[in-house]
Amino acid sequence: MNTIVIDNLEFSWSIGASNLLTIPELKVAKGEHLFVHGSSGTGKSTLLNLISGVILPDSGTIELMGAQTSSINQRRRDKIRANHIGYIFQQFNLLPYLSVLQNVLMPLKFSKSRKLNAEKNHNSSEQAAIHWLNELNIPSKLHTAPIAKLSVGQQQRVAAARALIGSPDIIIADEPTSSLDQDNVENFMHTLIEESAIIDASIVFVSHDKTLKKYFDKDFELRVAK
Amino acid sequence: MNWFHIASQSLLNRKTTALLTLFMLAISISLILTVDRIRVDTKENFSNTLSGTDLILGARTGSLNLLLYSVFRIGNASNNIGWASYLELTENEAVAWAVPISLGDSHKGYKVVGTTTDYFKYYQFSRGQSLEIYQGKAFENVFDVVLGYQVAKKLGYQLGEQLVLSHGIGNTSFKEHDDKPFSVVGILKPTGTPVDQSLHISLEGMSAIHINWRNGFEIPGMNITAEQALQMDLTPKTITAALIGMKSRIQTFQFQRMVNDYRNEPLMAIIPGATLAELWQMMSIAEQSLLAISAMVIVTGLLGMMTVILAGLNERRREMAILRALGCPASNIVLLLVLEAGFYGLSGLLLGYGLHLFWVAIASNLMMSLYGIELSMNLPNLTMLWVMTGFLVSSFLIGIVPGIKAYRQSLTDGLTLRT
Repeated sequence: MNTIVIDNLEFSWSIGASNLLTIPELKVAKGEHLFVHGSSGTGKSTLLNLISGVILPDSGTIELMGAQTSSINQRRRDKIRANHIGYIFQQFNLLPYLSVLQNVLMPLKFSKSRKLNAEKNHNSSEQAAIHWLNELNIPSKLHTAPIAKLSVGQQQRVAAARALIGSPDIIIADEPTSSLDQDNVENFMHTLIEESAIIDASIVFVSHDKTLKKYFDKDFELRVAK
Repeated sequence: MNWFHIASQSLLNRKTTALLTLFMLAISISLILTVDRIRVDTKENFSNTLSGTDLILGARTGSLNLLLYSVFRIGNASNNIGWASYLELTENEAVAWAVPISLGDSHKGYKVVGTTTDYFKYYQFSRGQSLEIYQGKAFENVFDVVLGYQVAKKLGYQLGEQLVLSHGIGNTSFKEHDDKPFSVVGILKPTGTPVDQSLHISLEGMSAIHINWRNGFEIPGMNITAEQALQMDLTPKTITAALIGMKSRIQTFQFQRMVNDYRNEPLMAIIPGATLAELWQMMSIAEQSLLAISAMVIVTGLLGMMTVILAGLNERRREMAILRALGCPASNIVLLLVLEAGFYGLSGLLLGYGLHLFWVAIASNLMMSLYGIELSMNLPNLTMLWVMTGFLVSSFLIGIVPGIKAYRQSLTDGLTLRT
């Protein structure tokens, strides 16, 4: 089963401009780990926005968990994103006014199915959050701390815990390691790959750093369309 | 953790701006409530001060002036009425009762009213209520004084105590009538009118303390003791004004014309209700403009709140993008901002009401001592309840504007975080 299917996708930010992004075909199987690379300006972030259903393609289709997101309304796309996607940004992932634990619990607020998953696997939402924080090596004394108390590496790991909670089908990561030092990058990548494997989630990982390719089953290069 | 929690935590994260905005709204709402409270209470107080009196007789002056000094103890009489004229006029068949009033002296800032015991019988306030004695009795002797409730309370006077009246009005009087002290024989029940702020003595007492005075000056070397004064003729020569009740209302106008045409002395008679209406008419422009200004302040407050929220949106793009990435529907972004605006509105309203009570508490002392007007802590009237409801509803509605902007912003930004 494929979690993501892209077919004949075309997208440009402004009408009349040459197509910024064209993807004839891209499939991500359940549990498959995909590395998307490309230099700046090739539309890496745009692709993630398209997969997440925040923006729509000009032509072609995107299927997410068997649903064609390009032909349903925005509210339903938001719902699909909440239920099936765990998202990790480049940096500053966390809401500064919530505690670490509250940040990790946020996805369960928007998705009933992820909340049910979390409760089924860990008895309660809080225990699920604590489980993932422990898996990602966040010391328990930091669980109730404000975000400002965390190092950048810790913040990215909390973001990973937030993406993993409630076992979504897809983890999308937008250059999550670019703000980390080398030791932290390895640590982060290993944990992310391992933990995603445990919940059998597909990963779409975007980076311009080709050295990260080694962690992935499959890679895909974005190029500026001529 | 619900939407309200997220909205409030997000606000708390920006607490300096949030608090300032809150105060801006609270001050604007407290202003209109307080202005209206003063307006309503002043009116009610004035309307309640005099009841049952058909005409006020006085020396010819402005009708408002006569009303203000004779009843409200505001301002001073420019001239007096001759006692003979008073007697002649009030002998008229149509007159049911007449109470003479003689003003001009004071005691520690409180005004002294020279009158007859008829004052306690005929003076009515607040729709026909008569004065009642709280302690002691009405004055009988020349040097007896009956205190208004507030005078006794504020100055701590008991029955039987001796006090000295001052010549003229004001806290720092030039001359004391210290040769002829008065003793407190009675204290009146509170009325909420200027009566509470007055000391009442007999007309004879008034004559007695001025027996060695001419034209407002003490005659040098002329010392007359209290005992000697009692032996002299204490019939008053002049009075300041008189309250008059007619046998029938119909005769009021006739008698009024007669007074106004009186040949021996320039006098006038006014109908208190009509003069009060004149006063309201005069005040209404000031009243309306004060209310209009207060309303503008509220509008300014609400606009200010909108500006604050709108200005903050740019810094909150990251927050919105994170929420969107988590699957928060764009419509909930609007809700978040409407909640925030509504939260400002509601807490601004509550804080503003509290602030209003605080202003009233501060102002009531001042209003009481300056004008004898008591401010109440009553619930706001219907108009103000509408203003408050309108304020609350508009605060929520105003949240839609930044809500829509954030919505559009979140659509164009997508999940791309901007620093």
